[in-house]
Amino acid sequence: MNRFLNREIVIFFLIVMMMSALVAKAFITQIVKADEYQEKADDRHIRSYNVPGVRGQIYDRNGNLLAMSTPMVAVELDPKQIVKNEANYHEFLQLIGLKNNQLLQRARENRDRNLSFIRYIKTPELKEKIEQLSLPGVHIKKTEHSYVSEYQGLQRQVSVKKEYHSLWINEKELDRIIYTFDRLAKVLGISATELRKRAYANQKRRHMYVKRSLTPDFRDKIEALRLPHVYVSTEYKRYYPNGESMANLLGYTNVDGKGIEGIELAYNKHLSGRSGKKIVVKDVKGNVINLLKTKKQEQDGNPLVLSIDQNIQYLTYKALKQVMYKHQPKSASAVVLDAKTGEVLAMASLPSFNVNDTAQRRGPGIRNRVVADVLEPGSTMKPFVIAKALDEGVVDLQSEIDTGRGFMRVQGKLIKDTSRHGVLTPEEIIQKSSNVGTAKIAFRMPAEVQYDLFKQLGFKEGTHTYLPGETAGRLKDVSLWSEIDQATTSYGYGLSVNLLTLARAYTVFANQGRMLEAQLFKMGENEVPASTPIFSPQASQKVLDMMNKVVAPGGTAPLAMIPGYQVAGKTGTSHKVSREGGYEDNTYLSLFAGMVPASDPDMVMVVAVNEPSRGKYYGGLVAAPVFKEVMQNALRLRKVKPDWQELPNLPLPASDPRFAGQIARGGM
Amino acid sequence: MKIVDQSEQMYRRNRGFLNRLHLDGLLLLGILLLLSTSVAIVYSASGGDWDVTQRHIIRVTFALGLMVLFAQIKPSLIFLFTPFLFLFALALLIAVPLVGEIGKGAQRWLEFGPVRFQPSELMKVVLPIMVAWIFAHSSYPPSYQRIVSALLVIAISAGLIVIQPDLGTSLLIAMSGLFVIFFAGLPWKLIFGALLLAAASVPIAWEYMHDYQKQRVLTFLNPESDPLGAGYHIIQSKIAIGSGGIEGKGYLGSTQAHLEFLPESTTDFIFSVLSEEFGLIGVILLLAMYLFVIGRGLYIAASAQDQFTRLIAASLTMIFFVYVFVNIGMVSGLLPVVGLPLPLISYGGSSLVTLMISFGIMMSIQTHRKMLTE
Repeated sequence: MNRFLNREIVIFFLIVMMMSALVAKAFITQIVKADEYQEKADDRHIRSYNVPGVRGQIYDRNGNLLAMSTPMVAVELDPKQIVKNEANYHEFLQLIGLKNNQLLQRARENRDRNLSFIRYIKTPELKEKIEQLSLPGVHIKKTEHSYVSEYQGLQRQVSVKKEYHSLWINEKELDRIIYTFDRLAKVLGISATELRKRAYANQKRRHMYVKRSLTPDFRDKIEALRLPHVYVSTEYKRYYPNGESMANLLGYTNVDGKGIEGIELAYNKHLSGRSGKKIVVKDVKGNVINLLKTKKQEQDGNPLVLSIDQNIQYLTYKALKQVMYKHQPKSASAVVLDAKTGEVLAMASLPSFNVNDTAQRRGPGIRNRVVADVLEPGSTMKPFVIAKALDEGVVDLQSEIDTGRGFMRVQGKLIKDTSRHGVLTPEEIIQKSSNVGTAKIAFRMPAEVQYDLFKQLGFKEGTHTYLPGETAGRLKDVSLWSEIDQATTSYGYGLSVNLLTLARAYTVFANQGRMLEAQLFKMGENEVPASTPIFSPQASQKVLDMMNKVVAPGGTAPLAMIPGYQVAGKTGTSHKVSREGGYEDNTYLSLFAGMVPASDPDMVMVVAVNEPSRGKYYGGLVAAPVFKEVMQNALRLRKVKPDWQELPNLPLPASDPRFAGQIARGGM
Repeated sequence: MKIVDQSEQMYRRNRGFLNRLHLDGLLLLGILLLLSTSVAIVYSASGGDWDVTQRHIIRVTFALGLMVLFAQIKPSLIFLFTPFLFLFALALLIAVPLVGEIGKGAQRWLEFGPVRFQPSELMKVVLPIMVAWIFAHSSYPPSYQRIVSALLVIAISAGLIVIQPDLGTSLLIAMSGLFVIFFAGLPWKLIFGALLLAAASVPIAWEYMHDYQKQRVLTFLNPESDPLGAGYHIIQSKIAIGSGGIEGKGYLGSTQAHLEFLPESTTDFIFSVLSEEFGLIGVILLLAMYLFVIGRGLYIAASAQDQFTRLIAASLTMIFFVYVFVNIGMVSGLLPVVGLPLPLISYGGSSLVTLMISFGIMMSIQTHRKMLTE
């Protein structure tokens, strides 16, 4: 039994020794070389990549999306590396003395699993040269084989050692180098030769976009090719659901997501996200498995909530579009303000453009004329002068001003009315829009008073929306004024303002003589709008009543009347300044500034139609209908109660299908 | 007969419940420890796939049942049926090339209704028993006639498996037979002579090989020269083991396995998962468990009451060890890559069944000792 046991003990010790060998091997791998393998493991799984921050969305006051960012992908490549690989491949072909097709043919014939045997490498120089090229898919196998042997007849042991070097290629990997451009071009639907040219032109650079703003499904398509030095990155494309109706207000971003025009440019910093850097674990297929750490947290941009009401904006845009068609002006613009807060509810100018089509992002359409164009306010200036005169006590409601035969001379220059009105009260001056009457009232005040009024109304400084192209008003300093300047500025010539400034000035009459600041962003529930007192509440109310008469039969703007509501407004028709100086006879600017309901104004709207060319040009005929068109629907949208009880005949609701289209056109 | 009855009663009184079931407590403890480790690692290696784990548990339970079943069979009964068993297994092996299923490019399977069956697995158990049968009543050292007939039996069985072709299994089976001859008392002189002869034949064979054959052999011997083929597995596996460090990345923390870099992570390469998650400490604990089972197996062999059972127990234990060593050696890069599961740990049916039957037989040998009527 003991003899039997011997072998078990021998074997058991042998087993213990071999187990110890396994532990020793594990010790070497896990402790001695742990760092190296840990690093390799990380190399395989851990990638760092840039995460773009999403640009802030833009909303209207009711939470509708006006500008949003949708995720897209961009295909990039490293031209330097790719060009280098191609060059290396050609050098490799020369080194082994084969042509491209010869190599590939040989690879096809000698395939063993993934690799194909090409040839033996005899000299270490060649091996070194090939290895220096470090081409993916090209492998040199070095196999060392040594053993101890005892030949029969020989009494001593002979150690045999053999070393082999052979060249193997992985066809699939090498193919990806040879056909990088072709495969990429095929998937992206572009020309391979073109792409190659571009890459060679940029061959000193490490980064080049191949194609951008691709739909996300291209990520899988490109990554499936597994081309070396070709990358897919996420980017965001800006999309504007409202397209043309808000194009020149919102502006747009470039392909890098940077604001280029409009609000996108003005508030770029606020909207922009900051890209971060993340380190992630990826699996064999390149899917992100989990986030290891964030080197730099990406920051999404901040959203913007505009004071704009998408629906009113669209109504305004549509009405202007009709004007463009009907009167063929050079341009038309309009702005709607909330009369109680100064918030901009709509701001539209035409011509416009489809902002979602990058090809259209040029030409006159991109100009936001409400803030970028200045215009002479013409007769829309008169209510301010009259209100000031009432405050100063130089006129009252019963004052009689003789406009004579409808013209007068000041410093040799002629001031004239459109027709002869004789003696007028201030109310009639507004209603009939008499230049002579307004000038005569203005002369009852010192020039400084009038100048200060204009300055207070912001006609010199303009607005502060910070929108691109925003222009301040042009107003000559009072020290340079002569008598004629006082006269002409009183009825709106010789100074110019942008449309938003004019609209803002009109909030005076809606707020008992206090002017509100124009707000582009939605105000909080309890936020009190900033305001500047300009007139006394009494004077303001009196002028408001006068303007009410303008929008009535016998006034200059009966076309602005809205059934059920009292409207206060003022028309303006000014000759355009000619390039040579002075005024042109046949080119006009048609204006209408109004508010509704007159008893307690809810909205202020100013419309400017620049150079109507179909015969009609009076503000009351061209601009006032736009006001009516927009306000009529906007009042309903904002659920404003009608303030005019004695209705001549109650129109059917516009929603009645029998009246579709008629009410909008037919007036009252 | 009276004496036997007394001893059996005494035995049962003393040894209690487990031995009434003919189970060896210590061996069972080692096996259960390894099997529960297995369930935990398979769950992790499959990436938390509960379906896979459930199937594994079912198989483990089934194999445990088989072990208990085989533990009931008296060694004397096995001795009686050994030649017939061997002839039956041989017949099945011959049947494989005629009617067998082709699986993974080689004919290894026989189909009996819904059950697919690998005759070579059966041979793994039957051959050592057959060789032990030959030496059952041998002198020490055995006569040359017995050695030659044993070698013949081994050569026929291994040869039939080689032509399937399944070189790995045939080598293992041949080895199990050779272990029996070794334990039967083969003179040391002969053992060393055979080893030297084998070593000497290598350079001669080498000279007669073609270039491409040499390349294949070299790749086989040094897989890391072929990072895209066979070497891929080994490199990935080494990275997994190496990145585990001393304490490992924690249970379910194996990135190599979970991110699918590691091939066959629930079967042949499950050791890498264990090393990555539990580190060097885990490796040592696992090897300790194996050593415990092997030690117990050799103890059973040493305390066996006759030559036949002793040879069976020793040989089966040795084969178990060879499995462990070859698998871990391959996974950690000491040995060339051969498709062999890690015994009792890897997911998989047939090898587990064979192993558990072997353990059943060993338990039977241990627990039926005192009841031998001879």
